This record gives sequence, structure tokens and C-alpha cells, in this order.
Amino acid sequence: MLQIDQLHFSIHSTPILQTLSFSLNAGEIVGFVGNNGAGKTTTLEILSQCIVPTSGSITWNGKDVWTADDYRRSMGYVPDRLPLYPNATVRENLLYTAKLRQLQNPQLRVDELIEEFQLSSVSRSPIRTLSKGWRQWTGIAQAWCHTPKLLLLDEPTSGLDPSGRQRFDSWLRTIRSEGTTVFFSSHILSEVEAVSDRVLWIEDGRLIEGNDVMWTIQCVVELPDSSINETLQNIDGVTDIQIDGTCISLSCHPNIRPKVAQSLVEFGLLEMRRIR
Amino acid sequence: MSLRLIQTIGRWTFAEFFRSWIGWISLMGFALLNGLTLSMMLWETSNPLLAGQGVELHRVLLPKYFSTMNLLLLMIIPALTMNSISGEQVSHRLRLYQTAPLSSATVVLGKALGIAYFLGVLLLSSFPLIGMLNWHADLEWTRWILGYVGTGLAGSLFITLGIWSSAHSRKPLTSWFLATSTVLCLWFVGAAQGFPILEALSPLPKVQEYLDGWVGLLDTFYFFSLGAFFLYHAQDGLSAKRHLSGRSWDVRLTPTLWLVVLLMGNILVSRYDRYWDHNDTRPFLSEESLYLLWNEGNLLELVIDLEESDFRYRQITNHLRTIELSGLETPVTWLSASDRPPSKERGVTLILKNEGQEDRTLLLTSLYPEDFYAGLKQLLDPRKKYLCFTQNGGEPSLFDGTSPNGFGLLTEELLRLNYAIHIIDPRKKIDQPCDLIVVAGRQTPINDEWLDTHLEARSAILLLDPATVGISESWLNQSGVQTKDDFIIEVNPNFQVYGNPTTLLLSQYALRQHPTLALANQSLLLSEVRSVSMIEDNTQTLTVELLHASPQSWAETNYSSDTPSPDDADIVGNVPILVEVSSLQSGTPTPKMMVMGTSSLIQNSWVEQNPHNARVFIQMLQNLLRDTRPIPDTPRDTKIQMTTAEVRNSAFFSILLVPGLIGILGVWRRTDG
Repeated sequence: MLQIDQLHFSIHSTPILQTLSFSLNAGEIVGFVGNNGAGKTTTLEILSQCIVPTSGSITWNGKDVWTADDYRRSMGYVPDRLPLYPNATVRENLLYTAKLRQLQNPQLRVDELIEEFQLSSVSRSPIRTLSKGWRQWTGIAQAWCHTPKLLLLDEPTSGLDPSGRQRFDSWLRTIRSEGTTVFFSSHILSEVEAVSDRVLWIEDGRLIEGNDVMWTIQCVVELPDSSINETLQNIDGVTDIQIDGTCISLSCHPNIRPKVAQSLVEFGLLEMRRIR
Repeated sequence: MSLRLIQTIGRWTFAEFFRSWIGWISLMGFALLNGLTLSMMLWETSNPLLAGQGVELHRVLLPKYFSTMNLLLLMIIPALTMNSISGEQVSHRLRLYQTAPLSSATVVLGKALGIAYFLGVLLLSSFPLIGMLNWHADLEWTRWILGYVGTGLAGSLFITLGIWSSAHSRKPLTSWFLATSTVLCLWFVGAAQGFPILEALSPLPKVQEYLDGWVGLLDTFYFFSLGAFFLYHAQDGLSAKRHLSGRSWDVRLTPTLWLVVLLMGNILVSRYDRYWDHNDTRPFLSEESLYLLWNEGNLLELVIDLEESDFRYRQITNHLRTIELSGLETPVTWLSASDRPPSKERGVTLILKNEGQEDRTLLLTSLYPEDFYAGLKQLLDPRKKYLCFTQNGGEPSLFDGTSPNGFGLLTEELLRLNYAIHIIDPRKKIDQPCDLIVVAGRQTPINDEWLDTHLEARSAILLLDPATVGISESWLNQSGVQTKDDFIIEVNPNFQVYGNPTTLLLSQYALRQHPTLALANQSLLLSEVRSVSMIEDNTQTLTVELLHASPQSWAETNYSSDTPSPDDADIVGNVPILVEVSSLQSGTPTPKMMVMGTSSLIQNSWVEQNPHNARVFIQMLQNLLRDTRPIPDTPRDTKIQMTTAEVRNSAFFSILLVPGLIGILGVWRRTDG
């Protein structure tokens, strides 16, 4: 669906992204994790066409995104700083976006969005008067306005409370089931892994990849059970499983981690971190 | 690029102004300043100086009002446009446009449209003031509409320039600074006379043509082409915001190439420039041309060789109509197809008949007013009169049209009337032709012999400042004129201006009956005047006192006193100001010299307030040059004159009521929202 090849970006000969290559397939949720300054936001800005890369190619269904007519129509983007007008209300902001997106019936679509994201209590309030969480939901609704096939999200859960995060995870799973591809960044590993089909790791502008890379991971669960060992052994690529009460350690490839996290959810996964 | 999207962005941009206080404050501030300037202009109409005259509505007040409005827009618009692109970038909202299926051109045009809507509202806020003017005087609707069109076009140009600077700046403040400085530069280079390229670049002369009631093809082309250039370059700047790592030089050079194309386009269009004049009764020919025709019209003949299908046919019929309306009977011959020599270029041939000499002819192929005037001038120029000025040692204040003491405004009028002007230095030989010498407020002494030698051959006007030491008293006495180191004090408030006893208002009552000089219903305004009286026992000349102050006036010699009062040393009552000296050598009196006790008559500050000062000076010139040509009067205009109470009411309306209502509406809308 979206193919990124040898993406390179530098400012005044300082490299920010180096030879970044990956692909996003239809209907999958891909997490994008890295430390601050690793290049997550820059990658998303390039994919959303806010920045032109120095070199490399990005193709959408086989066509270059800069020339593909339908790419921007099929893509939605929630940046880290939301493009909302503070003096306009939630409804006005959404309606403006719907009109910019040339939707057939913008009013109707805005009503749907307000209902879908439970914004009716704040729909007539100016953005400047809202809490960060409400603004974040408005920003997500804004990006979802034209029901894009590809949704790019930069730190989408910042500002959301725990229940809000749960609602967000559940919403992501729903849109995935409807065929939407989601690519989202975060620096909180457990949050990404709980919902992603796979995770891409970025460090100093490069993706960490290769089958020989193995990480040692430590997890803490709330409801330890004798079946944990069996569950983990059933996941291909997981080795060196050691269970000590509620604490579990294991070795696996970084790409396997989401599966590990998802399998431990039923045991009440509380914490998951990389030891080495 | 979709028009619907442009409209969507435009409406949103417009609405954004009113979602915060910015829009309301700008609107109220504009209305307030606009009302203030109009009130100040109207206050002038109640000036006692203008007793019975009023201010010309369409020629003076309206263009001045719209010019000020343009200056206000020039200051306001960069502040309105600074956020259009760079503000969106700083607040990260540019991503909304960058990720949507929109072109940069759509965004730029939408933003421009939104600010243009706001400009429309700003202009709309001035409508009540125009309505108020119409209430007091009969406004020509075409004139104020053209005023708004010109102002709207200039405002739109400022908007495109503001968006251009915003698209090329990273911070709104930088954008504001760039836009304001560029607009100011563009505007004021238009005032630089003698630099055609600068004038071509500036919107100032174009706007002035609109304000004068003319719509020119070049002016319109200028606004659209320069506006398009700024918008094109703005969308280029917006696209460049995606290129954080910089763009190549060839891309940056493209706008420069466009600018060159634009300038060439303007030059090309100027060759085929045409005007639309809203008023068919207005003389299409310039006053300068008419003046030449009045002088030489009986010796001139026009041979017209044009077909009706030729666009110049309409031009020449327009010129002929103007000539006819001016009461001139210039002979005209229309050539038919059979009369026409086969290879001759078509146009209008001007033929100047010279008695006893061969006729001089000139074929005009371009008949635009300025070309017609140039042709007339080329034929008739040798007949112009030469004026030699000397003032402070030959300093060029004669061409200074801005400082209060300069004579630039008079000079413009003299050149318009086809007089040639030289500045001479009395310490040197006069090389130029010279029909008349004007000594105006000269402070460096002039040698008596020099005066004798040069005035023997020609006549002179002497304008004496109170501080003048340029001409010796003994020489003046010998010529039949007496001056004193004094100031005229006018105590009659009816003949003072601004309550100042040294600023005199003189009307027909003060002028002795004279064959050339006349004030009719006009007035003269003079400041810091010294007495100039005649010496009766001079038998060589005939001296006549022509102008005097009121019977209550006196010429105070002890003017440094705190309590000046008339005494024996002073001339008391009807103090003379202007003296004419005529030679009796030929038997009949021939005017040779006129001496006035002040040079304020022709100083910019007074000529600007009272153009009739310059007219009286021209009458003095004509008297001495024995020039019987009529001074062409400017076309008649509606005049507006208001009483103090009416001015007060209009000030209340324009300074308090209109801005106040806008403010109340703003508060209501904001609190309601």
C-alpha cells in the first residue's frame, strides 16, 4: 500500500533520517517507537507531505505520492501540535476541515464525527477553552473527517487519560477491522505494543531491524497463571522464558514484542520493558 | 484549483478576524482615523479664509480624503496579512492545508480573498461618511465610486504584497516589517519626479489618476499584473515551506524573471495606454494644451486624416469638442480618401501659419492628450516667456514643492502655463533669455548697478520679505518706492486668519481698480507683510499703490515691543502692500516693476491653502509682460462649505457615532459569541 524506500532527510547537511525503508500494508496497525529526537515526527511529517525529503521515494499503490492524485485524499494526519483554530469552536473547526476536504455533505459528516468521538458536550466551545484531552479528540476527529485509508498519528494519546487511551485503542482496532492502515508514533512502548500488529524501531534516524537482533524483555503481570509459560512458548521466536511470581523475563526479536504484549493482556499486563 | 475551495478559505479567513478582537479593533480604529481625517478636512471648509469660496469637492477634498484612506490602509494591511501564512506556520496550522488535497495557489488565493473581504468591510465603514458628504454637497457618484475602485485596487495590491511577504517570512513580525517597508518604498518612490522607472513601479500615480476620475488601461494593468506577480511568488513561497533543507537557485530566480516580464509588460501596455473619462463634459485635452491654443489658436490649423474606424478618430473628435467648449475657433480640415496622398501616414497635421514666413507643420500620429500637448509645444515653444528668478543667492527652493517656504507649487503652475523658468545669480552675467526678473525674498544684497542694467531692458517683480536686505533702500527710493523695516498689524478680526494679526486676509475691497489685477470673489492670504508705499515726488516714473490692509491696520516699526501700538513712526490705516511702478518714457505709462512687501504670496504653505495667491502672482506677471492671454481656469467643481455647527455635527458623526457603533456591535457580537 505505502512503500518507503531509502528515505533520507537532512538539514544543512546534518542527517535527520538515513536510508529509511519500510512498507505499510492495508488494514494493519504499525507502531513507530523511538527516543526523543530519533526522527519519528520527521518521518510522519514527510509521509504526510508537510516536508519534502532530501532523497528517497514514497509510493502509494505503486505511484509516487507527490504525483498521486488520491494520496492526500486517502491520508489523514494527527500531528503532535494540532492544526486547530483556537478561537473557533469544535464544530466550526471540523466543518472547515470537512469543507477543505470537499466532502459531499460536510454538516452531516461533522454531526457523525461529533457523535462518534463523543464531542457533543464541547461542540460549541472554542478550542482555546478546552482541556488537552478534548483538543486531542478534536484533532483525531479532524484527521478522521474524510475517513482516510491511511491514518498517520504522532503521539496521539498524549493528553488522554487512561480511560481515554482505552477508548482510543478500541477505536483503532475498530477502524483496522474496517480496513484502515494506521501508522502511529509514541515513545511509550507498552502503549504501542498493546495495540499494534508490528512495531518499527527508530534510533538516530535509522530503523533497527534484522533477525539476529534479540532483546531481553521483562514483564510484570497482575494475574500470574501456570498457563503463561505455555502461551509464551507458542509464540514463534520467544526464547529463554523465566517466570518468577508476577515477573516474567524472556528474549525475542523486537518485532515479536507486540504479540508478546497482546498475549499477556489476559494475564493483566502491568509493565513491559527492555532490559538489554 | 477550485473556486469553491478558494471561497471556503476566504470566508474562513474573513471570519477569523471577527473571532478575536483584532477584526473589531482594526475596523473601529480605521473608522476612527478615517473620521478624524475627514473632520479635519471639513474643519478647513469653515475656515474664515475661505469666506464665500468653499473647498472644491471633487478636485480637492475627495482626492485628499481617499489619499489619506490609502495611507491608512498602507499601515493597516501589513498587520492584517502578517499572520496569513507565517502566522499559520508558527501556530502549526499550515499542516491543515499542506495535508489537504489543495494546491498552494488555492491557499494563497483563499487567504487573499478573505483579507480582501475584510478590506471591503473597512471601505464599507467609510460609506456613512461619503453619505454625509453627499448630504452637505452634491457628490458626483462616478467620482466617489472611482475613488473606492482606486483605493480598493491599491488595498488589494497591498494585500497581495502582504501575503507575499508572509509566505516568505518565518515569523509574522518579520512579515509585517518586510511588507510595511516594501509598501512604503513602493508608495513614496512614486513621488520622485523625473525617475520614470520608479514612477512606473509605484501605485501612487495610478491611484491618483483614479482619484482624479480617470480610468487608465495602464493603471488597471499595473494593479492586476503586480498583484498577480505577488500572488504567484507567494504560492511559490508557500510551496517552499515544505523544503526545510533549502531550494535550488534556479527555483529562487524564477520570480525575478517574472518581475522582468512584468516590467516589460507594463512598458508595452504604456505604449497603447488609453483612458476612460467618466464625464463627457470634462475637457479631454489638458489645460496646458488649451492654454497654448488660447494663445496661438488663431494661427493654428488642423488637418485631420483619419477614418471613423480608427480609434484615434474618437480621440480627435473629443479634442475638437474640448476646443469648441473652450470657445476657440481653430480651423479644421477633414481630408477625405480622395484628398489623401497615397503613401502618407495617417494622423492629424498641425499647421502653424507665420505671416510672411513659411508655415510650420507637424504630423501627430498619436493623439493621446500628452502627445497632443507635446506636439503643440514643439510648434509653439519658441513663443514662450522666460522668467528669471533669484532668491537666496540662487538656492533651488523654486523647485521645492514640499517645504513651507519653497516655491515649488507656484513653479508647477508656471510650467503648466508654458512659462520657462531660470534661476539666475546676480553676481554673474545672465546668459539665458529673460523677459522678466523676479526677486523673491532675497537676503544676499544685489548690486544697484546690476538692477539698473537689467531692469532697463526688462520688467521685474520684487517680493520683499520683512527680513530682506537684498535690495538697497536708496535704489527703491530712486525708483519711487519706499519700504520700511516694519510689520503690518491687522487688528480687524474680519481680515485676520487664525486670529493672528500678522496674517492678513485681503479681498477685492483692498485692491485698487486695475486693468489686469482682479480678485473677483477670491481672497489673498499673506503673512508677515511689510509696508510698501510710493514716493509721490518722483517725476521719472508713475507709482501707484494697488493693495492695502484695512483702515484699522498699522505698520509697526517697533515690532519687538511686548505691547505694539501705532505711533508717529508707523504708517497708520490702509497700510499699502503692493506698488506698481510704470515708466513714462514712451509717453504712456508702461508697467515696469511691481513691489510687494512679502514673499509669502508664493510660498508653498500659503499657495496650498489658497491657490488664488498663485493666480494673483500670474496676473502680476502678465501685467508686466503685457501678456493678454487669459489664465485658464480649472473646470468648475462643486464646492463644499460648512458652518462651525455643521462641522461639529459631522465630527460627532464621523469620530464618535460611526466608530462607536462599530465598537458596540463588536462588544455585542463578542460577548454574545
